[in-house]
Amino acid sequence: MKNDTLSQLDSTKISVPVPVQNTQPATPAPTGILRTERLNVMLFILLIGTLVIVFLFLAKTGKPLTLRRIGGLDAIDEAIGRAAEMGRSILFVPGSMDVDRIQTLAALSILERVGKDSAQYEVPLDVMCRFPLIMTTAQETIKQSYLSAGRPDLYDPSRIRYVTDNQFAYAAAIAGHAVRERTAANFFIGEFFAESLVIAEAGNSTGAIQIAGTAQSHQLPFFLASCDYTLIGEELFAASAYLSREPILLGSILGQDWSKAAFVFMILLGILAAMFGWDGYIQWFNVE
Amino acid sequence: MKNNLAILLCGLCGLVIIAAFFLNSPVTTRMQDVLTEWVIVLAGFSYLMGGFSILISHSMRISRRAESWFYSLVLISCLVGMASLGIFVDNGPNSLFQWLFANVQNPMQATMFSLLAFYVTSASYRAFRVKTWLATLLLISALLVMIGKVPIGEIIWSKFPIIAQWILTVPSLAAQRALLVGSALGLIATGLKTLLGIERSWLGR
Repeated sequence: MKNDTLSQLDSTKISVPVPVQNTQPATPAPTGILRTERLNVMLFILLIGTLVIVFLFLAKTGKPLTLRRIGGLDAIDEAIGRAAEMGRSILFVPGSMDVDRIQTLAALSILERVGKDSAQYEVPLDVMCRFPLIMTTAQETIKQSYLSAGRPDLYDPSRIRYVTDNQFAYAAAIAGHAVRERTAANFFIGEFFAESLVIAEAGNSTGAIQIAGTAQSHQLPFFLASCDYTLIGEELFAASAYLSREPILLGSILGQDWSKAAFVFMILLGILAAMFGWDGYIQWFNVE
Repeated sequence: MKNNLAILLCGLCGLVIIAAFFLNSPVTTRMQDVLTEWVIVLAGFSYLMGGFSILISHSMRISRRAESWFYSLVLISCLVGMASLGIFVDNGPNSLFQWLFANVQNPMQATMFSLLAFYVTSASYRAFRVKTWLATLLLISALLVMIGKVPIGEIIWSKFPIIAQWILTVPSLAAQRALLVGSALGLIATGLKTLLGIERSWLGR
């Protein structure tokens, strides 16, 4: 049942003025096999993809790569260690969206590490999911983590559970769990909406160490105010490489950085285009 | 072997969806439609698993007489009761099912949502405490935006709404767009790594 207005809050965000408006006439129906009106998107994806793949393979050659320290990821061990000392459990929330979202996949890559550490320190780990498919994926992820930590005996699938797909009922369940169980460490990683502050403040009230991470720019201020560490935007996607330290994954971060440099260059060109009226350049970025 | 099959399926499905976006071909469009239908079917079945998960987890709490087990009993009664009403009785506009939905569930959701006002206050109090010059800057910006967005701000000084709007549309929006570009690149790279099977932490590696 999803006809309630509150569930639509998922897509409600603080309105941001968007000055650019497409005033071009409607594009004629595509005729060829290739949708040429989307060629610009294809070229961008090819550019980013090529850079990422090139650096993936360069990383294989063994050139040492260094990443700047990310406080939120370094604090994972501290949070789990604290939970072990206090003899309390850990709560992991993999966002409010289904497993088809990339942020959820990024959250699962952090869950893998949290699962491994919690198995080593013998700390109970609870995962509360908003969708059943995440529950099964998280169960598999944690099962593998416990296996690789050499503690498959500690794996308890009933601790990874589906709660409800209703946004605020989900938030109430998480807040209630954090307060009742007095969890020592809370991880809120993934895509969140209006419920982010409810769960983060509830966790904060119990004194738990809180690590959050999202690429939702509208929820970041709430997490920054309520959590001890926050992974901001791209840091969330870098987590897998950062935590595993696998050269091949670290290479992809370098590819992302070069892509960012290319985008900065294009933005600078855009400023010049706006100043000198190069409409062709600006129009080329329209996405149909 | 199991993992390789999952990666292969993930890569193939991803490629079909990408191809359907760029190609004007009935074959890829049809394949995309079929995959989308499968997702809906899979999601439908997954809710059965989810329902069982809830029943098992809360039944265990009741049988163990865990702390607050009574609430688990309430949850299971509501779950079974609402499902029975919707499936076996009537879920029309004037049914008991709809009445319960409108008069029990909706107010409870509204209550949770309204808690945000109090949480925003407590979070703002912590965030705006003047400890460093950055926190001071944040406090000043927030005050200006708040004053500029309420009617009394304009009465005090006509420039307050203009300043508030400038903060929102220039420095704030610039920072948001920088975050957005970084996140979008991370998203594409992660998607690519997942499709190629390089990123497999979602499978437990």
